[in-house]
Amino acid sequence: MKHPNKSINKECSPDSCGCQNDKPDGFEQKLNKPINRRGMFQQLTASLLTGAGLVNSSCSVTATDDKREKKQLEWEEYFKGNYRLMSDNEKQDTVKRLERLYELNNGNHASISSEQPSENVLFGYAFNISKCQGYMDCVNACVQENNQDRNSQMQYIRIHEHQNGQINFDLADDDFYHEVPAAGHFYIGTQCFHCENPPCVEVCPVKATWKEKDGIVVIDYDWCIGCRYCMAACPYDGRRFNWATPEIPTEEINKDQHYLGNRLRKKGVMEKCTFCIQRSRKGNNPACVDACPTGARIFGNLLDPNSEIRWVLDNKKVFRLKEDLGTEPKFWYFMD
Amino acid sequence: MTIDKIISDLSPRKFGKLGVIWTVVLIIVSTLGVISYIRQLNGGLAVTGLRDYAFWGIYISNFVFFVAISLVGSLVTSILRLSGAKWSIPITRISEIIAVSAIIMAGLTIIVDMGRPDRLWHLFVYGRLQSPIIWDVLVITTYLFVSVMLLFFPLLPDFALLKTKFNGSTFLKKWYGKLSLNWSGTSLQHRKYNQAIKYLSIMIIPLAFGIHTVTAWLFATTFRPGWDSTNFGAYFVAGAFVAGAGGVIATMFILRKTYGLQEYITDDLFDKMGKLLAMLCLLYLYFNINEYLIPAYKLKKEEEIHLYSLLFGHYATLFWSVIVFGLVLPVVVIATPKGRKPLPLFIISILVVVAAWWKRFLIVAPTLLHPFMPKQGIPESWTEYSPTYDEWAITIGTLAMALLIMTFLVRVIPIVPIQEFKEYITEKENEKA
Repeated sequence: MKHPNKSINKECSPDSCGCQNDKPDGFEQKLNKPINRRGMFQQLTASLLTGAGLVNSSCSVTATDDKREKKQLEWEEYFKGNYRLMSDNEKQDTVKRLERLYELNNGNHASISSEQPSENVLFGYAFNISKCQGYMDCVNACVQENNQDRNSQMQYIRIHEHQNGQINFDLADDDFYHEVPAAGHFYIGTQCFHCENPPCVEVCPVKATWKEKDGIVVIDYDWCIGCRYCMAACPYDGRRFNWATPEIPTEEINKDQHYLGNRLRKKGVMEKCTFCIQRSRKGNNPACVDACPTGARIFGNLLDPNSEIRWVLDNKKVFRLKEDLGTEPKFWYFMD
Repeated sequence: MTIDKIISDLSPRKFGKLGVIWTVVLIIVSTLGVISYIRQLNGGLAVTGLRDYAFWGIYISNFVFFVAISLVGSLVTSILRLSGAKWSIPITRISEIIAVSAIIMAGLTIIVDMGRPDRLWHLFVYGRLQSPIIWDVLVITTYLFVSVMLLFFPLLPDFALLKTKFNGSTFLKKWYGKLSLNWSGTSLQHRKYNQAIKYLSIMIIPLAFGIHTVTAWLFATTFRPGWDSTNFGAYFVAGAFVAGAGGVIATMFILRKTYGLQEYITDDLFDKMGKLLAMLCLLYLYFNINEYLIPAYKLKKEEEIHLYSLLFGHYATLFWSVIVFGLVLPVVVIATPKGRKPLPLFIISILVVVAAWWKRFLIVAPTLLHPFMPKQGIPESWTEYSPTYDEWAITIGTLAMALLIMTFLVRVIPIVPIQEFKEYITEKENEKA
């Protein structure tokens, strides 16, 4: 394998979508090989685990059909490949399995999409500091939309209440329970900035996280090993970890899901803001944008010259956080 | 000294009452660790004190500690051997035993920290070389392999001796025979054997530097204040030698006392190891000054917050204790001839090892509590890191397991290389004559 870091990034950038077909490089090899290796692992482990719980109940005559089906599906899920390298058929298969598993677990149907990035789309986000009043509607909308764990009150968005005159995250208050907007304060929201040059993606030991062609940094929850190295690498506090099995009351689950987005997570894996991939890939705004009562949040396609985000970038004086690190966030701040 | 006396002195012996109690205690502590780990597997890492801020804690610092301790194998068996320092021969086996057990436990400890240990195989089958974690996986498995060979190869002549002359259990005797791989001491065998050990000794030096440098890079490749340092690789390697030398001296003392090996592990050997430890402490002190003075001079905002918490703030007591008891005091004590006697040196070495463990904690935890974009006004469980019972039980369990592996090896193999020691002592006597 000759390719260094950079070529992998290019692979995901919008202008070189066809590089998988160019030459039989490491990706080609990886695309072809895992099936054999997976098969081998499947057989190896199956023979090793004979008699263990998993196989036991899947082969058991006393277990109910549902239980057996569930075990069978979980078994197949465990040995599937990395989503990034799946063919369309494989993606369909895993989505079908996950939908069926959801039905078996929760008793109702959820739709899980595997929608691909569209051509000529690169998502970007702008945040109007003048407009944000700290109402936190975005945070609530985000939690409802993305099925985060309710127990640990996981939130992707943080609203920092700054004192006028300085942007200092050490002096900001992020847990305010007073009437907003507070006099002499202004508000800055942070979340995953979907960097063009994401340090979190660089360090992942198994490529469980990567940047999609439309610029969204995603995680394959079924591939992550939970080492939390990406959390260490991210300078923006953009990543969250499931310390325990996430719990959401069944009636609160958002059933409109995406494989890389808000489908239910398991314990011990990373997750993060995906610009609501289940919404944005259908041409909608992320939940935080739609929920914002002041219009402080702007989302759109950076490659579309007529988009609102492009208007902001062209006409406003914008800045990004920690630009000196060279991470190139696709999340800009501006003022009226 | 006759060869028969050497063999009877150095042959593995049955444990006395103390040895049995020691082993039982270790087994109990390890079992408590396993029970806690099962609890962690069921409940997720939520059973630990780790949260979104301090997402790495004593599991990771304990891992770094194990990697550090394991470096001693290469220091004593390889660097000293290649530099012709024959005095280290009686402790080569001990340091290899420490190295092998520490590196095994380093590998296991890191699995404990994983959110999804069931997907460990992803690392080996789908690992991507661009990630420092994969460098660590590669270099640690290689180091384990070479360390085991460096432990095993010098054992061949000893096994062959014990095959015929061992008086203990016939079961062990049978195994010595099998493991001696038909060693008969012909000149060809000797040549191959010396060659192999020499190659392994050379190989293990870059590997040993590699394991600890890569472990340092694991931190240094991030932007975090306190980790973002070009000094980190060398700083970690120097610290590892200190921890390793401390570990060897402590083990030497205990084994010498329990087995009455005063003629083999002499006072002079302690004296020399003491001097070596003092030198390594000074080296590490130098890197420490390097590591803290330069950022303290420039005082970038994030570095300032981090340094303040270490030097004067929340972690000040721990920080200064580690510096004083783990680095300065050893040098002062060892500088006096009385301080190089076995007992004071033993006490110093225990201090050094304990300080080395906490030093790793100070490298891992405080940095994480001071990220670039701190969240303010949040519960204390986020901004403070205090490990839970389960976390401690697992960590102490892994330490106990390392000692258990060492204890097992001490029980079944000669702790001082018989054949090499005999050659060394004959040479010395010839010189005198």
